[in-house]
Amino acid sequence: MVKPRANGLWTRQSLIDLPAWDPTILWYARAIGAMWDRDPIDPLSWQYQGAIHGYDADADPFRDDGRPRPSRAQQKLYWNQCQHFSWYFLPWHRGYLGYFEKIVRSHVVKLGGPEDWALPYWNYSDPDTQKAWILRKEFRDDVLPADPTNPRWDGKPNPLSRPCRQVALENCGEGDESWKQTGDLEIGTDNVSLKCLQVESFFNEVGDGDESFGGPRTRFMHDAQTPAEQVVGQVESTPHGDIHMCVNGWMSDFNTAALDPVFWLHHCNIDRLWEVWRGLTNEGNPSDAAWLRGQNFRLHDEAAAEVTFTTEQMLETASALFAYKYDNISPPRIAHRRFRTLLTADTETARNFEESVAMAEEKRGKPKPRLVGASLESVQLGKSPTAGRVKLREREVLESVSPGGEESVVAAPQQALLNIENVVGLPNTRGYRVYLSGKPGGEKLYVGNMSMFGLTKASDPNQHAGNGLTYVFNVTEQIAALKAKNEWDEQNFHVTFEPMGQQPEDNVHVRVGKISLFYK
Amino acid sequence: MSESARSACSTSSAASVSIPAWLWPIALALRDFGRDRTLIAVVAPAWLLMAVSTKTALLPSICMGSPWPREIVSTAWDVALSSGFLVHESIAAAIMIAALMGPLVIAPARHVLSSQFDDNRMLPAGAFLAGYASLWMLASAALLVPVLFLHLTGGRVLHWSAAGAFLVAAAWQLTAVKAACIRRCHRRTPLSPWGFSAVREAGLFGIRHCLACIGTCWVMMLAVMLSSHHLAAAAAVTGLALIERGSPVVWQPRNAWILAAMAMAECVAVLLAG
Repeated sequence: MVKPRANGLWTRQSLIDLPAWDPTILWYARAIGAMWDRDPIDPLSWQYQGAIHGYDADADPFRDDGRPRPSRAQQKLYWNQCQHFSWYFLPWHRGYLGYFEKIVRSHVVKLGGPEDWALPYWNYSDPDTQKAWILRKEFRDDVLPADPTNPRWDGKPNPLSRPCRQVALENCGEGDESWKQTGDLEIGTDNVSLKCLQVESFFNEVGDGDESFGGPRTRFMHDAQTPAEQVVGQVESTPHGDIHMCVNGWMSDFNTAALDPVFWLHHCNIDRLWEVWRGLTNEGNPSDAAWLRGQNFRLHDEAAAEVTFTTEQMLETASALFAYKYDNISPPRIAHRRFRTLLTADTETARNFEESVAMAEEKRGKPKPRLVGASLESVQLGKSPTAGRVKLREREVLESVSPGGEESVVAAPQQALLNIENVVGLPNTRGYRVYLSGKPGGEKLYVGNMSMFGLTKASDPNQHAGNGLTYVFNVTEQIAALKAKNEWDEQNFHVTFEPMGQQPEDNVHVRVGKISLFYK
Repeated sequence: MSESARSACSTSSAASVSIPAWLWPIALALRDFGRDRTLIAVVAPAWLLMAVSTKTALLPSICMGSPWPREIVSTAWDVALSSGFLVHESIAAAIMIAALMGPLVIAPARHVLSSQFDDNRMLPAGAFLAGYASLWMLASAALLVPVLFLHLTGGRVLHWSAAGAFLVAAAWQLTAVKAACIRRCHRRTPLSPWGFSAVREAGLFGIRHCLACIGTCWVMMLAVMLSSHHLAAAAAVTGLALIERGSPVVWQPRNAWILAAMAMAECVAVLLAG
């Protein structure tokens, strides 16, 4: 059921906890139907809202529908705004979701629905629900269900199942549609991993080799147009990018993603993960003025009036602007802090250890990553697993430290960061699973996923620099494990890229420019 | 995160200063600049020398931006062929490149540095700067030919030509070639940190980056050389280029308007000078 507001706050509920065709889902579908009925020139229409995220007339699936669209000047002002590969990724999407929710709610109310309606979130990572990543039936049914209390929509086409899914964008309307029966989009546990929650820092500097939860410091960053290397933040990579590419179809491209109703439930979950992360990190959100107030974003409210916002207004979900909360932001069991996972199972010891590490860092400053190894050449990826060799400098040994004494804190627990840099290409695959191995033919340990979401855009030299994407993985655990098994070679190691999802086509063109290893 | 830590975060953010969005590229560049003492050591003296050279005859060169004395002009070609002139012009060109291009080269230089091992950065960085600066020196020599010719004609033609150069710069701003050059300015190719490859690839990156940079800035540089308000023009062009480099990579008619306004300012200056 739609949860009534408490203390003036709307509650965003978990989709998988709702019964089939719960009013929350049903009214979402009806409101979307009403939004589709509006012309794309109208800021309250579905197509207009989708185009705010991204729009390319050539890729518009409805370009020949003869309906009026905004002038070029208006499109330039309000469309193509989504922020990716940037520290604005989370705050911009929070604002986008917040105003979208207000617009949908206004439609719900106009249609006679509850004023307390709020967006649900798709928690595909929920460890307590079996196959939480299965796409629910409501998003696959062809028609809306019969409703004796409100028969107006009985048997009408279901807007939730309208989008192209599961196949690549250019193959819409083709392919095996068995997923419609099962809801199985071949999403694996690796695609919904919450390892991102272990990262302490919200942002990093482009090119510093470090990892961050929210992405690197950039300016306005749509379509990778800003002049900086495109580094994918941890939450943006997995689960965000993975889910985009697994749902596929419209969801796989910036310019069509927000036309899929799943997009909003997916991003609602990403927004929730930001709140979960805040509860885990010591550092918290940045206090940098450039992040807080350096960039104004434009959107429309439920009256179609222009609104502007900065990151600073996006920090508290319960603020008057959007006034919402999530029904669950407790840390999932699988998202232990890295130090705890690595070093001890004893929470008290871990907390003491982290506090002393924090004090040591305060004295010495935060450790900066330093380059310790790099590949000798670029690596061409294809439809079968490909490996690249990384050479390590002599005398660079990752120090293993156990908690306890003050000396160990002074020595600092080192972290190892694997950078997969300048990945460019026209992928015909969802992404690659990345593995680390020491000696040739030795054991390969899984590191993480490289989602191809946004890769085509980031690789296009005709729109911007075409530097491609850079992915960062924390491989401290993997190296420690390989060392423990005597599988680690102090001179070389290998990184293997394995295509994920369906067997890709022959025309996969992805190249990794450089692989680097940093210690910090 | 604890509540106290959260409130500490919000308190510190509330105390910070708000800067208009369009100023961020310059603010960020200045911040990077402040972190890089080597660049300050090069760029600050370059600007100081430029300032001095516009007021004195310390550098009788392209940096002066006003017609050369008649006795020099009358024998300009002889002067051009003399070694003293070439040395002076080379120094002046190097100063101008350091002053104008120094702030723009921070980002690619950082890419070179971050691609290298901590204790092996100087040679690749040197190779990058050598590749970059040497090509700009050649380009400056090429730009000097029309400057020399216009100095020969002297007087108002020189000043009108400065206005014309700013107009050409405004028009150049709108071309597809300029847009392509800007995109290439933002390219960051993967660089090897290993052995001689590190030096070679960094040097090649410097040359490639400089080619894109010349394509982007050549006509603005020419306008600065010709301007009678050399220092002001140099500062304006540097600021413009900084904003351009820090902005989304799209065509920017806004910058064309600014350059057109600078052309108008040159015209007004000529008219006021009688």
